Amino acid sequence: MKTRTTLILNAMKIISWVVFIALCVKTSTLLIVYVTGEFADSVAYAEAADTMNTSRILIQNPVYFTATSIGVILIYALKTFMMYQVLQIFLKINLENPFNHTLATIISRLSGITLAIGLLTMVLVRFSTWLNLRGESHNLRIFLDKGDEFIFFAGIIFIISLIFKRGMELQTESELTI
Amino acid sequence: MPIIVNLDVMMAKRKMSLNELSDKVGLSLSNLSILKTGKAKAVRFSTLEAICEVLDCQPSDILEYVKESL
Repeated sequence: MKTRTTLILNAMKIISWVVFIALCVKTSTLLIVYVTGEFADSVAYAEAADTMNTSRILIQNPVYFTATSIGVILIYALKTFMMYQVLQIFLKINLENPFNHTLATIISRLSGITLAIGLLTMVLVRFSTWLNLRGESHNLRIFLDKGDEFIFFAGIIFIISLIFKRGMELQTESELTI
Repeated sequence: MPIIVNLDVMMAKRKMSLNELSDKVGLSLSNLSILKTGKAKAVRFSTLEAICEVLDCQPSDILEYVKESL
């Protein structure tokens, strides 16, 4: 049982590393493409976009382009940070004494980040719908999921963090029971 | 905390060191230290029994209730 749990945890740790690295690459790709689009000429931009296999957010208005690009980059940056927190959990978890202050803080932080991702995604999705109504063609949807799942998960993680904090209190009390 | 642990008083009366008490009671030094310094949240009856047996005393000799002033 213990070996199986350890195996599962190790597998999840490896998967977390892979997802974290992938998100780092994706976020930095989006950042580079945006910076290239802002400061380089159109030919260099097209080459960069092709090389990195990203599609341009085809918004001609520079204000909308900047707003949406920054929004998308921020969402991916938050997802990367969220994955980093998940990784920290796997690195710091100790099954002998699982309830500690560090993990409680990470889980609370995770619920906040998840909520932020959900809200920001919902705002950006609404914004993209508004752009569509204005006749601005774009392909923002390939970068955005709906924000609902993240808000739902934020709620669940928040409840888990409350249970974890209570677990921490019980563990402390147990440790101080002579 | 309203419950005061007078373990050091009893240990002094019986002329027993913490190490000696720890060996006889079967508790670790750190746990006994937690109890002695009043940081313990709870004490098991089995622990109290073992301490009272070794120190030849009553639980009231070790535990004292002092009402908290407002």
